[in-house]
Amino acid sequence: MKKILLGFAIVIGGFITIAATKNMDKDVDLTEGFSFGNPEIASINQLNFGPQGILFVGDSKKATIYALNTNDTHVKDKAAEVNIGEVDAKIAAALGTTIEKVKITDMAVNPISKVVYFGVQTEAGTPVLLKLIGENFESVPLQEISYSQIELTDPVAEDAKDHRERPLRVWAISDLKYHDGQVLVSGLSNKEFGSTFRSIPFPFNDAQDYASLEIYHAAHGKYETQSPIKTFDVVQLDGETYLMASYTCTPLVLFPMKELKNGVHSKGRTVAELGSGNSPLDMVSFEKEGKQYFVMSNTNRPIMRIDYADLAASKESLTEPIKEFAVSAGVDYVSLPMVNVLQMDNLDANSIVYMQRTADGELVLRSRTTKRM
Amino acid sequence: MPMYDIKKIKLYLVFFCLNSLLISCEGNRTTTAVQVHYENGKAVSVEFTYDKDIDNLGLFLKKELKIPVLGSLVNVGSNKYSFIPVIPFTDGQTYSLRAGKRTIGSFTVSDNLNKTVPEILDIYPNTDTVPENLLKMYFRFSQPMQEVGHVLDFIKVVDETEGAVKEIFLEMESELWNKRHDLLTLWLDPGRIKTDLIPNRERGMPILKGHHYTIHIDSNWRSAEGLPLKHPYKKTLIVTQRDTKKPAIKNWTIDLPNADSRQPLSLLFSEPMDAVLSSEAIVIYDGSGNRLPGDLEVVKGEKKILFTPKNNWKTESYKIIVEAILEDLAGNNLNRLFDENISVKSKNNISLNAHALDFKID
Repeated sequence: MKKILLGFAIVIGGFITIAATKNMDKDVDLTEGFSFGNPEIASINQLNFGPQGILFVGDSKKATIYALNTNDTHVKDKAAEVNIGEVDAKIAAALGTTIEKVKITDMAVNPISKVVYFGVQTEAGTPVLLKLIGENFESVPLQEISYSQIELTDPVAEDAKDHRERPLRVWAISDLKYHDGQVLVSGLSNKEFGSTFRSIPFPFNDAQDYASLEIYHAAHGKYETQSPIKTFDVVQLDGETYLMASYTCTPLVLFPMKELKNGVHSKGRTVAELGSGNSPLDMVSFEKEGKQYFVMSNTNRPIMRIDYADLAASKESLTEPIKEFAVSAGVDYVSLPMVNVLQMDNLDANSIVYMQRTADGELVLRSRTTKRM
Repeated sequence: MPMYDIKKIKLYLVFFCLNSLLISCEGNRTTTAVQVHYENGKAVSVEFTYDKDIDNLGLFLKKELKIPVLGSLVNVGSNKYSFIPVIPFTDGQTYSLRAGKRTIGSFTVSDNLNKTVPEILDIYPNTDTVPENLLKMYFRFSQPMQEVGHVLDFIKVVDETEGAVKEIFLEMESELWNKRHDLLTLWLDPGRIKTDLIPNRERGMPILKGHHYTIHIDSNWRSAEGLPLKHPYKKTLIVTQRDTKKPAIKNWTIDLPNADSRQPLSLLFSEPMDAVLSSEAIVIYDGSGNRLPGDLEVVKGEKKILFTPKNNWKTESYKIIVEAILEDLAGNNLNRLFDENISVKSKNNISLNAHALDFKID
């Protein structure tokens, strides 16, 4: 009888695992193991929504990723148009302070409710989470919230295991995204220079059993380039999932997701050069007229739009990095007439919301249909 | 027609008088004293008494008419309320408590709460002479600095040899601060240092061999408490040739202390090393494999560390363990060069996490 029960339990277990990976959103309550209280978030550096209204927060100060249950699950298919001027002044007024004492660190849209959330850092260091309801900012209290968390621990050198009182290495979390049951995190160390990219299974487990990946890409002639990722996205090309990463000192590089395994050094392929003195700020993908596109905002260039089909087509030449190197451009991109875009996210299926510093210095928040992107 | 006009004016006048009477009356009755509560030098809440409907109450920056301050209003006794803002009130600001459009109270937050002026304690490398491929600099402050704005707005680099302002640091969205926010790391643009990357080919190295640079730090850089730096700071860089060698631990020398003393052990590097990593990546173990407690000091110039043990040295063998992540000023660590030519096969492919130096005290 015991044996039969055990067999039955395994079948059920297997079913749940399949359900969790295939259709996680609907079948499993991902917030089940969450605690309620004050997660004591020290800084909000990156925001990204997962399923079920779960907001992932990257806290560089504590080198921790938080999953917050926003309970914001009221389904809305189409978002209202967004057009708000002087965003920073309005946020400062709502926080009872002046504009130079606040900094908007990130912005993310809840794909269920289409509500826009903002991470704000203040001069004295208090992190604030705000959401935009109509034209007003509302505070999301961080002291009493349902959450779970995982600390980004360092792989400590084998020979220095008992080096306990050493200060925690600081990882400035440079980007964070939820994808298919994994929280993907890129980080920059404030000390040694190197590449860090992690994929952490979600819901977080106590064993902290996550892959710590080191990435090399050899697209630059005979020199190996080991460099931290600045921003990334996950893209589907010809049925294959890729990590598209942009580096602090190099252009866009593609890595097949299936190759990103614990301890494996994966060589990426350069797909586009962006010109010197420029670095990407944010990436968003969308579908328009049956075609997939990818847009990227930059520090010193207008928004660039890249066609997925061009990325897929460029595959052949990219397998030979040195040849690729002679070409300065890589994949073609279209420059859109939008400059100084600091933040972007998909607002709904047909529009993007973006934060932009206009020519006269005003910080505006606007939505734009993807037809015009 | 004229009659009608007069009536209308009269009516308006009467209404005006009545209204002003009501306002002054009600104004006197409901003006309330607002008490500010401070915690650790921060204005964390205010308390006031109000006996009307609180639905239209709002707390605003004095000059702000539309957007109320976000926070929570808590009833703390009969007609007594406490307002806790999402972030502490700002020093020196005046706020108004309003019922609808009417101000019923106001308060100004104290601006003088035993604050100390921030200073820069150290800029690493301390040494002025640096290789052309210098990778990073650290700025250590006496207290946590502002968490807003962009650090590069406060730093100007002048190439004294050319007499021109240069951009040498990598601009980053996620600035690299430590947890306390008093140690900043700035990278010299790695894409320009790495051989043959497009930024390197188009713009060249961030700093050039043979040139002198002055880094100017603006005193408008504020602490987390809002006070500007004590004065402007300057740092000189004299640039020498590119460092293309890994730190060679076999060339380091040890000055041995005497047994039964707490004299510092001195470890002399063969070149200046990263000051912050040096203070963390080097540990000393005794003969039984226990970590030796003590203080490790990186001597100015970053070519030497001094380790003073907590207890006396014994007559025995010791081991210095140096983690491989320790870098020189050019970002070359004990295992690999920052800018490595992968077509040249390394003779020794074994990458150790840490390297050891043995010494014995007689």
